[in-house]
Amino acid sequence: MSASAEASTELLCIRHLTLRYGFGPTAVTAANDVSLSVKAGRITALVGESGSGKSAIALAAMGLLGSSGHVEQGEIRLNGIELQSLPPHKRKAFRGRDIAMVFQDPANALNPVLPIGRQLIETIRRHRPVGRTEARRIAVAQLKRAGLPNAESLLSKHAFQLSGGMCQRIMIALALVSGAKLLIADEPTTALDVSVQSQILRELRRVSREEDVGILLITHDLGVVAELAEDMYVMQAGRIVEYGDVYSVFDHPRHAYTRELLNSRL
Amino acid sequence: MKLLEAVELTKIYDGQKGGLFAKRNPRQSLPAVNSVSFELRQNETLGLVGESGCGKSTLARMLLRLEQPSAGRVRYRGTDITDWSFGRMREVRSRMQLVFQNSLSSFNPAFTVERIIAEPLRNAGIRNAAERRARILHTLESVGLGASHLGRLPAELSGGQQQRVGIARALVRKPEILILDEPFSSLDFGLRRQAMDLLDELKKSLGLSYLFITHDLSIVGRFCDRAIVMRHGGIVEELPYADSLEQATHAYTRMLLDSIPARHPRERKIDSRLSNPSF
Repeated sequence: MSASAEASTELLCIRHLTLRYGFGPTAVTAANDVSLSVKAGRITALVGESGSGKSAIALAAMGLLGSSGHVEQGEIRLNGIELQSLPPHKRKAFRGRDIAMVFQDPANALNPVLPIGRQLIETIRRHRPVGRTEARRIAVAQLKRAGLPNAESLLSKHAFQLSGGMCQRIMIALALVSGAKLLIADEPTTALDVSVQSQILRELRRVSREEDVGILLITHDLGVVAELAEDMYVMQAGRIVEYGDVYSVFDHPRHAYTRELLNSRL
Repeated sequence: MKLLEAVELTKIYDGQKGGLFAKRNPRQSLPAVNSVSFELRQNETLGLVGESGCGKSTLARMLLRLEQPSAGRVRYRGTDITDWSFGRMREVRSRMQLVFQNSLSSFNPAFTVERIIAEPLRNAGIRNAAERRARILHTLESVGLGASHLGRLPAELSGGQQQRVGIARALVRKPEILILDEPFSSLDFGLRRQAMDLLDELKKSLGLSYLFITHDLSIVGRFCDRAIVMRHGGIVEELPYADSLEQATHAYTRMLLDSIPARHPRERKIDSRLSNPSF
């Protein structure tokens, strides 16, 4: 790792994390002794096939594992604060304010019955002490920064009136509107066309560069990793099997599974 | 040999602003497919490439006559089938089958694998259960599954197995043509490659022809013999050899090619285009 990378702030730090779903003999281990870190202004990829446990880690970091999933061991630090020991209402305060997430299917992630503007304004006002008019102004500014045309008129639109790419760009804007510096993007382009995919990738690159956001990019697509990421972790069956900066992993994959993934591309 | 032919196929959906009973305004009508002509030849894989909304699925549905064309003709082995009745189409439909993007959602979740693949045979009037079972088993084996899968429910199968069952269901009537509608996009890369190899193998052993619908040009080079690029309901470019994609000339095709992610971080395309605000 380069010296400059070490110098940048570590936003998310996961140490020896073991996650399990269910209890007793039927419990399933989703993550096994996983350690990873995400730094400000950098894009870190977490790569693996479906079922390898990548999304479980994202949900654990968000504190959204659900009732049957639980952290058995290890720690999750966000801006240096250990999250596991916090009571739920304190954890909730982090969500959206410090850590945000975008999902695979943007049209389903947005509320279908509320206009875009209301969802943005609601999120802003939840995290910042501003009035409706000011929140609206912030919302428009955020959409404009994301390069969305006609930001004003977008506010009154519903998710179903917009294309998938448009929805995903709004999701990214919505995720970052409250000032979160850590973004978890879980397969953000899998549901989208390739041409739209490149728009979303560019937008993710922009927020990492210009707004110094640290991104944990969860994907099974090594093309997306090659385009976007600086560092990558390769995950197989709940374990991290390889870690490094993308150049060295692509040039000299050490683990057989990584080589297999690289070879399975067309 | 022309197996399936589209002659100036057009589909216009009437613009219906203002509710069900509003007067239809022809000026609001938008052609989803606009005078498209092409042919599918024997034993070839023809790629039909375009972004979502470009009309490629509507076109495929018209070829199967699941959608009635507003204008133009569909010919199967030289015979015009555009106006054939539902009953007459049944015979032709057994020759053309569809494989869906998301197999799971195309299955009845309460049916076992055996029942799923038996449905097309029942529809064909094969009443003898033993005969049905023999054909189902034979087809399952040809896609790399076996008798142990017969009693499973779709939800008990992995994504790759679900896609294989989807292919088996399409194959059980012994078709000549498979219309593959984004068959790989719900699969991981490893599985995608396996599915592609399987389809290539079936094409050779069964003498099939494929119409392959996709938005991803990176697959076309590997999987297709020829390709057609569609945009806004029309054909913008025909690529006579899919393996020489790099020679494509139309700006839209170039844009699609440029959207394919790099194979290596050194070949990154995103950074260089970051300055371009008009995406």
